[in-house]
Amino acid sequence: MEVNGRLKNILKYAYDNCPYYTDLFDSVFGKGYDFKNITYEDFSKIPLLSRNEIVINTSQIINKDLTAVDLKELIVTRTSGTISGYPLEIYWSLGDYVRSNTYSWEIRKKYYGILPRDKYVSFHTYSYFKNKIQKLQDIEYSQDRINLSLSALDITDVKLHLYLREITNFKPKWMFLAPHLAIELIEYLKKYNLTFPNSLEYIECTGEVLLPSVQKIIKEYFKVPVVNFYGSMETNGIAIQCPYGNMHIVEKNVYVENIEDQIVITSLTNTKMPLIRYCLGDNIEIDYEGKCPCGNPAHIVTKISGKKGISFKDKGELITEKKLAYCIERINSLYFDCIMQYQLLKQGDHILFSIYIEEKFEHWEEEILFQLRKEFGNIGIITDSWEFSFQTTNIKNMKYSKFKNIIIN
Amino acid sequence: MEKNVAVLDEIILSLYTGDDYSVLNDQIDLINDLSFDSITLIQLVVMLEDEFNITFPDEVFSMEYLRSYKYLKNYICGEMMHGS
Repeated sequence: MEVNGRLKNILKYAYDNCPYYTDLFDSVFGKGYDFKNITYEDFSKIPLLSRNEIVINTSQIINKDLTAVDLKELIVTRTSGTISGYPLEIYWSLGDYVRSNTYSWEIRKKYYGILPRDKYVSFHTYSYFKNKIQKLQDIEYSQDRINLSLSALDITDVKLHLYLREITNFKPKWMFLAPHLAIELIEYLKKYNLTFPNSLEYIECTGEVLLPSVQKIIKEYFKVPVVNFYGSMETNGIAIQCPYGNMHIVEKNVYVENIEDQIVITSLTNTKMPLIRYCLGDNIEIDYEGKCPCGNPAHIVTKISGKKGISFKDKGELITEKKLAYCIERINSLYFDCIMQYQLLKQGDHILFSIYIEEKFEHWEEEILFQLRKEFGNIGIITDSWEFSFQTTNIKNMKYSKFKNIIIN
Repeated sequence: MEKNVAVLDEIILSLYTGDDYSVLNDQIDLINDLSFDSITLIQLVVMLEDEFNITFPDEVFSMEYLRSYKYLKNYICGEMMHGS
């Protein structure tokens, strides 16, 4: 079957304009390959692109015909820490950048009434200035004061107190944050019996897996739509949730492949630095047949979990984030999404498994634990020597920017 | 056609943070003359698509066109005439 038009265009464009792809495609297909009729079978012969290869080959991946005007208006997006301590930089023309982001914004506008210039609060873990990571400020405003950005590191009640004062004055229309931060914020507000500004109309969660149970709690507390967004600095929007709860791929922006459960992305909009068959590193499941009542025909992402993540062996069995997530999801399907958060802490041979449950499930602890041990046992994980701890408050994420489900000390 | 141009002008001016409201003419470059940044351009596209019930094709995102008031005006008027 022939690949779709947009994908064909970017392949042809990359071949004609980017030395890295000219050499690569010549080596795969032979010189002078005709991309007009490229099939998915041929497309799948293109080697996968790793982050490491992008860093090493950046100058060859960039369009060789960048003009002076392009350079003046070039947009550079960066991702944090990669090999050699250098951030990964992605170059966009202003037009490509606008086009790439427009597709996610069309959805936000259509379903949730949110526009790009609406005021929003976000949380940052790093900031760059001229290619170097800057010392984090707790509170930062964008130049046009559309965005209030708060540091996500070392969150304490004192900091949250400052943040809330700032947010209250700022009156944001929406908030963009990781699920664990939303929970942390809710707990703080409840603890001190405080309220969040009622200007808030929408919350978008990103950066971590958003469990349905957590989504429900956030939605019930703030009484606004809470939407799961999956994107990357390398490609912008990849998938966004519709009001029916389905994560639709932003198919005008990216072509997504599932290669052995790992997401592989081709950016369809970046002509200045095309990324073709780029391994983002996250695990993904896609429903290619599913139809959604929202009417968006784009394929639906049914599961996203973090990058390969941390794993270790316990009593000969490999313990992975994916396995833990599977067991927790099983329990949540049996017990009304009771588990909000979980974390495995390994210190030497000792394993502490902390579970945050909703308060109303407190008296179910024994039953939940019994079933959880059973679920672990079913996939070969022996938990006899593990210590389990239940709590009805958020698991603190002391020194990490992203919530970690496995910590090995 | 005049009505469409008036709507286009209204949307552009709603995103313009300057104070000279007589600025719009065919020579206007949205980036250089009105200081539109990427976020503002995204909002402009989303608002125009929504208002005129159109979807911009890829070529409109070429900066040569996207930044040009004249091009956007002609494109929208053309689409509206073609659609009606």
